[in-house]
Amino acid sequence: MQEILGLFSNAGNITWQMVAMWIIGGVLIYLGIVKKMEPSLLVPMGFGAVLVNLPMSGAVTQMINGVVTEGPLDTLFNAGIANELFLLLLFIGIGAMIDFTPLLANPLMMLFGGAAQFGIFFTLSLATLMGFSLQDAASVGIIGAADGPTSIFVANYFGSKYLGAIIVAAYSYMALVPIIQPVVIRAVTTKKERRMHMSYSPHSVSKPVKILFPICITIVAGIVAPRSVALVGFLMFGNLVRECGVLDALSDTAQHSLANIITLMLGLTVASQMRAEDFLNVRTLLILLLGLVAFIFDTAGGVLFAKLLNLFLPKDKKVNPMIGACGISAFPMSARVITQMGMKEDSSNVLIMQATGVNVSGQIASVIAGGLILSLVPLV
Amino acid sequence: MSTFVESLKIMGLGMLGIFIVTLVLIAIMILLTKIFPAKKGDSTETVQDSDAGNRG
Repeated sequence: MQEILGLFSNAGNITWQMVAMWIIGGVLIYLGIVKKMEPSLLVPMGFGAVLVNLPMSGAVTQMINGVVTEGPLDTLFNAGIANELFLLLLFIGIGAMIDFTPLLANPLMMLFGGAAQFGIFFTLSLATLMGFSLQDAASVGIIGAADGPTSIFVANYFGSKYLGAIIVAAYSYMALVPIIQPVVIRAVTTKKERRMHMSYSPHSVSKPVKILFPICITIVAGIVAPRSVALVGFLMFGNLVRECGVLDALSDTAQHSLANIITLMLGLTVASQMRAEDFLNVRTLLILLLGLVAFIFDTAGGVLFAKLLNLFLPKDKKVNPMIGACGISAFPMSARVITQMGMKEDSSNVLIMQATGVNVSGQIASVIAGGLILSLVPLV
Repeated sequence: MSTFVESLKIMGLGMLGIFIVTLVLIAIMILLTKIFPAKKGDSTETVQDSDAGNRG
């Protein structure tokens, strides 16, 4: 009888904090499966949150009878996230998925990608007012990049102890783009502005341009923000593999197998940072709020920049300010959201090509913003 | 307060840096499309694959 009871003795180690994390994990799984919000990440993260918050969990490092036993999630974290390897490999896959043609055909759309990074820096400053160190504030602000790998890369670089909260915030808000952006856009635009039509004429882009573009981006970004070379370089390498036309098998592998394998491991591994003692505190709530602020001001920044630009543009060249909101890296979701908003205001107003060009530029701008943050914010 | 002031400086330099890089990239894109103009049969703009990009 005593042996049987002994089997369940570990139940006595369950704390309310662990139960709270099981619930949070359950919510993430629910959002991923039922609401289909970023399921490739929220489902493994949710499950991982349960795994690491079981008493004496063998999935994470434990001290058992005075002996440190490394758990597999910590092993994976050290092997792939602490050294940023998983993120960079995922970036190859993401780069291989992106078609820069809409941006190359309309280069000026890149301006909105730049403007829509405002939320990152605004939130960085706001976070310092709330008592975060510069490094932690930068790690929180980068949530506004709407780019999971970049957020993890920057937070990891600064050794932020809020990595778990930052990751949950980054991926959750990326999935909430269809809810957050329309509200912000309606708040800063008039109905007349949202109904604005934009002229569109299809452009072609030659193959040499599509091949040289990723190489040029890497060189420029690397010179300006050398710490971003890994991020930008791997993203652009993936794109070069896609565009060169002689590496179809590698491109296919990068877009599918590689991206899927890394995504599988990433979600589960980042959950190792979601231990109750690190996650359940007021700072986590603050980070979730600041992440929302970053998204809001990114969206508002892009839209308001478009409105500012319209003051100087001739009547037939004015832009629909909504496309400014596409300058975040949540691709292609943001472009689809703005297109739907445009058609809701006026069913003949199809903004998909302009929105896609801006959205694609947001991918580049967010990585550059990450690189600039790494260069401008001191390590200690 | 000094951290906040420093963050404002980072904000200013960061946004300036992004816009400078943006302008350089726009110039590069325009230059590339002028040096290598599109020929008949080159790809036009397309809507992205729905699975593309929703990884990060």
